Order: sequence, then C-alpha cells, then structure tokens
Amino acid sequence: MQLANNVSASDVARASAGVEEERALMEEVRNLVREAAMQFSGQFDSMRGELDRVHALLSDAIEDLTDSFRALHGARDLKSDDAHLGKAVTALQFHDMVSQLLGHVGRRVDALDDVMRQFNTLGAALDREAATSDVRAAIDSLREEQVMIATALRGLEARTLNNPVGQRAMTRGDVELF
Amino acid sequence: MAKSILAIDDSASIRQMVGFTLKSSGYEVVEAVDGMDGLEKAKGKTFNLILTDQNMPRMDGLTLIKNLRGLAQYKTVPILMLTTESSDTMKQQGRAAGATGWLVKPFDPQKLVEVVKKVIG
Repeated sequence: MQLANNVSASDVARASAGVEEERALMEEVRNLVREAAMQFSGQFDSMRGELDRVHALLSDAIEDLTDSFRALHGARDLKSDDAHLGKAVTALQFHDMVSQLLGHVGRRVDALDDVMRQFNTLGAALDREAATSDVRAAIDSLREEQVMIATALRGLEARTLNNPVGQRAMTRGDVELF
Repeated sequence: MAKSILAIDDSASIRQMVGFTLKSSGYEVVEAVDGMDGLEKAKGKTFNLILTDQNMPRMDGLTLIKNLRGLAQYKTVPILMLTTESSDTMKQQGRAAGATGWLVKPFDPQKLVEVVKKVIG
C-alpha cells in the first residue's frame, strides 16, 4: 500500500518502531535519574551520620585528654614557658581544627544532597510530563526543574567555597599585629 | 590587680588551653562560648583585652568586633582574632572591622603570652 507523499507502510513501521525505542529509552533514563537520586541521597545520609560519629568520638577523646592534662599540670606545677608543655598545648588544639574541617565536609555533603534532591524532583517531573498530552506545559515544567538544578549547583559552590582550615600540619600559626 | 581578658571560642578545648596559658601568666580570664555570649559578657564588664575566634555559631568574630567597636567602652580596647582562618582576605576584613591583630591556630602558648603582654602589658 502506498500512502500520501510517497510514504510507504514500511516507512511508517520504521518510524513507529523508532518512536517506541525512543520512548523506552526515555523510560530507562527516567528510571536511572530516579534510582541515582535515591541511591545518592541514601549515601549522603550515611556519610552525614558517619561524620557525626567521628565528631563525637573526637570530642570524647579530647575531653579525656584535657582532663588528664589539667590533672598533670596541677600535680607537677609546670611553668607555661616549658617547651614540652608548649608542644602539648599546641597539639591539644587539634580537636578544634578537625571539628571545623568535619563541619566543612558536612556542608559539602549537605550541598551535594540538595543537588541530588533536585534531580529527584526532576525524575518525578519527567514521569509526570511523559504522561501528559500538553507539550507546552511539559516543556515549561521541565524548564522550571532545569532552573532549580542550576540554582542548587550555584548554591553548592557558594556553600563550599571557604574552607576555614588551610593548615596541613599541627605547627604553630602566624601572628600579625595591625 | 590582674588585667582581664575575655576569651571567646565555641571550642571548649581551645577555651581551656587559652585559659590555662593566660591564667598561668597572671591574667584573669573570662570565657564565652560564641559571639553572642561574648557580646553580652563584654557589655557587663569592660575587659582589658578581647580574644576571639572567627567561625562560631550565632555570631562570628567579625560581626562581634563590629558590634564591640560600636560600643563607647570598646572603642580602643585591643581585640585579637585567634582563628584557623589564615587567608589575606579574611585578615583584611578583620583589620577593617577593627581587629588589633590576627593569630592563626594552633597557637603556641609562649607566643600568645608574648603578644598579649605586648598589647596590654
């Protein structure tokens, strides 16, 4: 059978198969986006919990160390210019630096989690719009999701820009009087 | 009479180390847990020196300095930052806010005492 404009039945069948293949592929992409967003969110939650645990362990350790330090100092009447004492006081400040670094890593995790949450809503929007016949509304909705993801990505950069701890060793810091 | 220092840091271990170091050298040290707490304590009594951290909950060090410099009793009182932050940008912001000096953590106790003596005697 020959259709209008010299389009054959086999052309129609090929086009139809192509559309079906594209639809199936889009379905796979949607599932992948949803699955990735879910997996990442789970991983971020675990990372957040583990960071909190590290912080709690460190806090316990530093509490014990400073208690022992105070007791030793009281017992031995050490002078504040004693070299070993100076080293101990410097080293005991590790908790503050590690806490701040953990806080910074925590902010990175939270910011990444926010981005992944946006991908999750994108997955839901893709599902929703695949079922609609209103192409215009679908495009507008997906554009909105695109803007939300771009905003979350910009937030990711802003929230993780400043790392409060630049030190790479527990050596004493600089002093500058203005 | 011992000169008084207000030490502000959200880290208990840092407050203890600062307190231990400065008390051992004859200074009276009052501790505050963040900028807000520090501001309240500073309003209640005029200290000879303020030593503050930068990154703290509720109120950071730079905001605290700006607030303190707005109070008549703290126009000329030395304020030192004691922080892990070491970038020139942050130091410039500190200077603009009214900080007297910038000490990067971890501090060496002997050096801290030297700086404090230089600033308030």
